[in-house]
Amino acid sequence: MRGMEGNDLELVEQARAGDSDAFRGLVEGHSQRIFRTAFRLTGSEQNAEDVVQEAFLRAYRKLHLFDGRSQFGTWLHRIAVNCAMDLMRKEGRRTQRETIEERTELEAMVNRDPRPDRMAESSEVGQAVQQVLLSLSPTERTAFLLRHFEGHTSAEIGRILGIRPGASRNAVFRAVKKLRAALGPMVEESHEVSHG
Amino acid sequence: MKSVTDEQLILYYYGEASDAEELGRQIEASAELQRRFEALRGILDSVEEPEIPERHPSYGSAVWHRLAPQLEQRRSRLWDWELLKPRREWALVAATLLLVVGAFLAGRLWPRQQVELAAVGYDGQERILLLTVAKHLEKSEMLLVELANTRDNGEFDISAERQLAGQLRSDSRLYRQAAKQSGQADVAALLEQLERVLVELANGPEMIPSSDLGDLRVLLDEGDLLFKVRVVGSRLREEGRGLKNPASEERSALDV
Repeated sequence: MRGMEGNDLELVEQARAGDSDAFRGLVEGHSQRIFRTAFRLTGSEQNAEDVVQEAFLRAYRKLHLFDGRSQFGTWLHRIAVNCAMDLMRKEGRRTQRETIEERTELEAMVNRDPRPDRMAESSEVGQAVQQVLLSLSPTERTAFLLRHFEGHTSAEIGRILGIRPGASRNAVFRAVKKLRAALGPMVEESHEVSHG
Repeated sequence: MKSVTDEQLILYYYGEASDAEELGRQIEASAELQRRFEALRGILDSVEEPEIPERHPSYGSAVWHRLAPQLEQRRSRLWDWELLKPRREWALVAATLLLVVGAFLAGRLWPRQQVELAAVGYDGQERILLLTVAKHLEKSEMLLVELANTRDNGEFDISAERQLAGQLRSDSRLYRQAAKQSGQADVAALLEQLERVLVELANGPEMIPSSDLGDLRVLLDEGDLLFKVRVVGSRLREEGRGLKNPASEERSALDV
């Protein structure tokens, strides 16, 4: 994919001049990667599809503003992350009640008497992780996932989200704190079981 | 020895601690720190990436087919806008003429001011240009910083900012031409970059969702625009102040 960047610049120039085939080349070349990022952030196939669609629409609308200082893929990735954040905000408002219900369920799951056979099941931990991630604010969730899964530094996350590196670090800290609070007992128990 | 915070341990886990070697030694030497770090590692290691659904190799092509009709619609709208372009150019010419005539009339009505302007000479003109552009950059910076710093969710009424962006955009265009003519290529390039953002704001809707502010932040960040505006503005101000001000020199001479 990296080798595409030189070609990308040519395609951007041609697309700006009105060549729709050139923009098609950009869409075809970057869709898979954008989908993966969108899925990591939204956790839903349907939402990830919407993010991919919206990201390319925005990119097309703002193509004249792309000045080539960063790679096209990096620029598009930022747009996609911001689209995913917007979608999370919308979803957040719509499903606020559901999130509260999920959180209550999660708390109940954590507070239940730990049974080693159940706690040892990593799929349950994985499910709990997903619930905690869903309960984070869009900024916390995005900053954490970009750090944890995509390996971006605080400075890079800051640039992607349009916030200071310190603010992106704090968002990751808050996310980790919430994960610890919710998963601590479960993971420790699971750890003890696997070592005992 | 300073106590190690949870935040430092998180940064250490992700390989982003500024003092990683020292922190590593501290963790190795302390059972308590080892316990804390292991607990943190247990949590973070348990956050595994969910399986990402595979997309077919022709996925990009499928995305394009869904996208193409929407782009076509947008192209038609742009074409309409392009048709209006000559009229917009004429509006700009008319506005410039109005400005020139206005300036001429102002000169006639206030002859003293005209004499002062005529007396400023090359250094004076250069000084005025530098300070005016510096002021323009300062105003633009204030507008963009204010918008970029808006962090709330929801929709915003930016009609006032939009109007201001429109004025600044017109000014920017004139200053860019002046900067180009006076050989200040870097200033002209910056004004052109700034103009693109101002055009985007001025032509945008009055109500915008917070997502568009996110886009604005990305846009500003892309070319370090705010940083450049600040640096160039301050340089122009310095240069402008460094040049002679004939009017004030004349006044000083009269004062003596």
